[in-house]
Amino acid sequence: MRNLLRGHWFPLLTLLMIVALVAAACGGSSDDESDGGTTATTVADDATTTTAGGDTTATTDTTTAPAERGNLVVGRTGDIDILDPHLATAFQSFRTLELVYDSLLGLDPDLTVVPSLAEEWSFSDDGLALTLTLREGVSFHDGSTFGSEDVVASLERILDEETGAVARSNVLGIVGITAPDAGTVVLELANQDASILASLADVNLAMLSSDAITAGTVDREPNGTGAFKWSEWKQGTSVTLGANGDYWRDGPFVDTIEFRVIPDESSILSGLRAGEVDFAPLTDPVIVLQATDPLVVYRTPALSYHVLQLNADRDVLADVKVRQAISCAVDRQEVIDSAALGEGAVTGPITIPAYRSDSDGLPCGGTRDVEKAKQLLAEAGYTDGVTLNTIVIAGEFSTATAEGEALQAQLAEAGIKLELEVLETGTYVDRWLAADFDAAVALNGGRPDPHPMYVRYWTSDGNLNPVAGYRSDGLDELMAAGQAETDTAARVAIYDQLSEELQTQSPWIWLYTGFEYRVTTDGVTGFTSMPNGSLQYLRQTSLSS
Amino acid sequence: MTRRFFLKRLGGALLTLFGVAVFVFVVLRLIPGDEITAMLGIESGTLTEVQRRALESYFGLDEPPISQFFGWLGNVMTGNLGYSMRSGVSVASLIADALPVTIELAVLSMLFGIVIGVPTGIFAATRQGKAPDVVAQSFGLIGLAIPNFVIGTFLITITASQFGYFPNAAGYVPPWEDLGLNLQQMLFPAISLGIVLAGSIMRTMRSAFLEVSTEPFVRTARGKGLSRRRVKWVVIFRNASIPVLTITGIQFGYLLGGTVVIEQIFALPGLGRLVLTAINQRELAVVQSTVLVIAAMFVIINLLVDLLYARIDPRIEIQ
Amino acid sequence: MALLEVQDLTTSIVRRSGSVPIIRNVNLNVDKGETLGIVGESGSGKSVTMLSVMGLIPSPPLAITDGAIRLKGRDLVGADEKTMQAVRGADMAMVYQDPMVSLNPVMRIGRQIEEGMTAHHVGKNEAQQRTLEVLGEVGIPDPPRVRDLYPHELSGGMRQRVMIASALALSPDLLIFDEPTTALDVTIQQQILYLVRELQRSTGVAVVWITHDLGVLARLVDRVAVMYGGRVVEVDDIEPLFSEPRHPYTEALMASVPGMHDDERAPLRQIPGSPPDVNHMPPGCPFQPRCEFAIERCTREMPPMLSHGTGESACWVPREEWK
Repeated sequence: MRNLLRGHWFPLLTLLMIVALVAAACGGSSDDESDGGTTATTVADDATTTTAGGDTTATTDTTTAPAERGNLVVGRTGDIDILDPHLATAFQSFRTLELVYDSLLGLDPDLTVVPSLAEEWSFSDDGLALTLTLREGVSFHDGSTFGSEDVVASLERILDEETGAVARSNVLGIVGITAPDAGTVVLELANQDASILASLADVNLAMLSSDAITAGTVDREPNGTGAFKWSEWKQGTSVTLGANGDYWRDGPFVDTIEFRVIPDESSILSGLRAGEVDFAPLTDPVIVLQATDPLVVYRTPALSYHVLQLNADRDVLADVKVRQAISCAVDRQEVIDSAALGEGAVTGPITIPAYRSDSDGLPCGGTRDVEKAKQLLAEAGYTDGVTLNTIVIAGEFSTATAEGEALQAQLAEAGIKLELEVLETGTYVDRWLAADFDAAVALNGGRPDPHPMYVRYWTSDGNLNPVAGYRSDGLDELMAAGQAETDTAARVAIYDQLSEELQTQSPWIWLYTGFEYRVTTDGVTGFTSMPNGSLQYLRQTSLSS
Repeated sequence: MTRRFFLKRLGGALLTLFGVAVFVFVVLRLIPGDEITAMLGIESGTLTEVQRRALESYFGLDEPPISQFFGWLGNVMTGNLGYSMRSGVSVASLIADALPVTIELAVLSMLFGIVIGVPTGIFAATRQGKAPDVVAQSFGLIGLAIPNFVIGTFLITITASQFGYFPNAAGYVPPWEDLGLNLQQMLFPAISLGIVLAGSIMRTMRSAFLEVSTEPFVRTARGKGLSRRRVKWVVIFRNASIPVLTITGIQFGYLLGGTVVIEQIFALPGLGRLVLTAINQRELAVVQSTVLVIAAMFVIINLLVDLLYARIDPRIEIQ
Repeated sequence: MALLEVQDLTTSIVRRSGSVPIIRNVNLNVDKGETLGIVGESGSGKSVTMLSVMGLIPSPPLAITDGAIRLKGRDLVGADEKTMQAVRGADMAMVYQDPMVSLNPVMRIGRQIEEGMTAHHVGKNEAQQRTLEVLGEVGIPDPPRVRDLYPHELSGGMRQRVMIASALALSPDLLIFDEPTTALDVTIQQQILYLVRELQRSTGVAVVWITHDLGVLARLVDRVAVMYGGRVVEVDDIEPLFSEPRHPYTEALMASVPGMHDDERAPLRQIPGSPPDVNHMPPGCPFQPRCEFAIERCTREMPPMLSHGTGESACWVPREEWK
């Protein structure tokens, strides 16, 4: 046998390769997934128009949904890791879990609080009790009915320290929970808290089935009231969700959603072009700018903000004039243009659309003034300029280093020297938490409500206040007032004041908000983007061939 | 080959693996950040003491390092490679899912490299100094010089943009589920890796071939009246293939270590990706056990290469 | 007609800048059953001559640029490769200098001998039989065991016997030995010499034996060709050559061999000077720079081969006039 092979192995090898390639070519076209969906355009149009102000109002009735509506493939760079919505922290987890679970309240594209599992709510006169009326006829994926006992069990689970729930600190103000009947829940609050509504809309406050909590299956068998049911999880590769036929809203309009892991964003883009991927949340502006026709790009200003954090607890930054000098020496638009290729908008401290602040309070009114900056530095006694040790995170977001360098160049002209230290995530996080820096180039997350967004940083006993590096009685008063004020207009005024104070005292230099990018093929309709990055409107999205 | 030989190699292998285990263990713990900061990022600053202690106990971070090390090692010896903290899935099953992907990719890349590299090397050697030789060597050099991910990205960009073809975005399928799609998904990655391999194999083949050609026994063969073809293949090639086979074997070992970037670009859920993700997530158990498995495979490959070497070169004796 | 006729053979290194001859106008004849010795220093061209006959000169850069070679009347210079392959091994065979490196290290002995036969269309079984036979003929003990061994498992002397066996396999008419014992120790040398002599007697094969060692020739060959500087300078039967050499080089060679009864403290007699460089050959006799007896004519003109008795030599100065 050996003699037979000897001298013939080379042609045999070539034959093997040819066989392999032929098999590949023949078997290749059997493609089971992708656009099997048919016309759903009428539905989609209607769905789009109802997004303003809550989507519980019935969409004008549609043609009966066609039999096969397809598998919507979402390409993303990471996989869900924690299945328990109370413990999940990664974006990838949120994006999947928010389709499987609902919370008591929801958010619309303007981040206004709207009904969800709770149809109505009202505060007592003294603001210390919040009554929620639950929606009827809602069931979990396993068939059991949703009622007040599930709400109570879920909230108690979150409040229990042992659970380690991520959002616990946001709802610590709840001191008592009662359920007078199956359809009503009353929350007793320690103090007036207007922000609690937005907190209740968070996916970390999803409503779980009390049975599931007792059985301890929450982290293994997701069972929610959401538009999609948990179907299959190939860890590290994909998560597939199936449509919930009994969903209490109209929809969903696809049979399945598959969240597919493709670690490289440019590969995702190639997947979109090839039609293998229908929808993708992308983050790198460089990649997004390559998404040309016929791909569709949704751009929404994000809640997260790019900022140059200053550590006012350090001697060199203790004098407000120094910080103001930095603020004056920065050209925010130029940072956007050079580091982010123009993909962004200048922002003040609060990025929520309803509370978005402009340039009030900025020492140079938002225009770059290098002379003024030098003057301020001189007044503070730093005629020779200052040097700041600046940490920059590598790899977490694509523009970090570019921003650092842009700022470095700008500030150098005013005699402010940034010594950039580009650090790997773990190292950066350690230094950041320890406030071991003069300055930090950061991308911090925003929240739909200004109170939870900043309470940890700008209240003197906030647990991230050391990282913020600055505190004042004025800020404390404003934060407390903002939390308690239930009248929307008055609340906006308070936070405007807060923003102005922050811009004047300049403990941080707020730069810009980027965009939340969603790139889709042209067959995807009915989707609406959200500033907080949520993909909740996939529940109204359809695929047309 | 005797029992003594195997015992000696086994002993050496165990020692090597122990060294790897210690090294990985120590390095991972020297990296700043732990599972908690990896999971929560800057949010980890919001944890209360109670929460932090609960998480530390959950991740096993509260035990002293030495007991962590031997606890882990002891588990490994009994077949328990640990668990992924976030998902609760056993490391063994994670590796079992990733290993076939990496092996398949390694084998196909190897085949590609050999199929391109060996004939090209012989071709260049037999036309030494002439134009075809120079061209072949240049290609070989280019193949070696270009990083594999550049080739990969280049291939994807062309086929996806121009022809709308990118099977890797369809989600990896193992060969037993859909052989056709699987081979399509492996084609470009194997080419990307194979071209680089081909470069190195070509050069080794060429120089080995040239060297053997000048050996006296080649003249003896011709002197017996053997045909040119027979002399080329049975005499020269057979001898020249020895160094090529050893290089190939070692390269295969490296491929098994996981070619992370290629796996990332082509969305292949192999060992490289498994380790990389685990490192970013500070999933220490996953990293430690997987690296140990990779090291073990490398050791086995080395042993097999040595055995193969002894098999094809009768002058080598296994002591 | 002689078995092997080499006529005016010139082999050169062919370069773009021009050809440089390595051997020039070599004339040799070997009759059936005859034993011819070729003797000379390293670089004299003795190996190149016989390699040219076998068609085994590395080409490029070497090539036969002039002359004729005929084996059994057949022209070999103009023959194509296929013809040469048929001739090699079957009509003439060569045994090379260093047995340590002249055998394929990865192939068993038996197979190496067999492949020489199967290349000439001998059936496998027949080839295997013949292999055992021929291993026995060269004095290798236990041929069935040895045939399955690899070259590195044999001693130098055994390997050389294997090479001889391989050369004998197809019973060629001519065997060429290129310094086959230079790399072996003296006792083995004797054994090999004895073996070859026996083979000659029993099979009547013609032998060409290349060496730089005169002593070897004494008991082995019938005739000797002396080469120097790429040319044949003297050819004669063994006895007359030894007793009355006609070329100063031959004379010097003889004289340089230490005798049994020499004074052991006397310095060894050497030939002064060094062999000529192929690229810078003097116009006249190549030996002239080192020749004791050279005259003025030797520097200008190459002497032709002049017959005398049983042999020829190329020298302007007859032996009688040597001083």
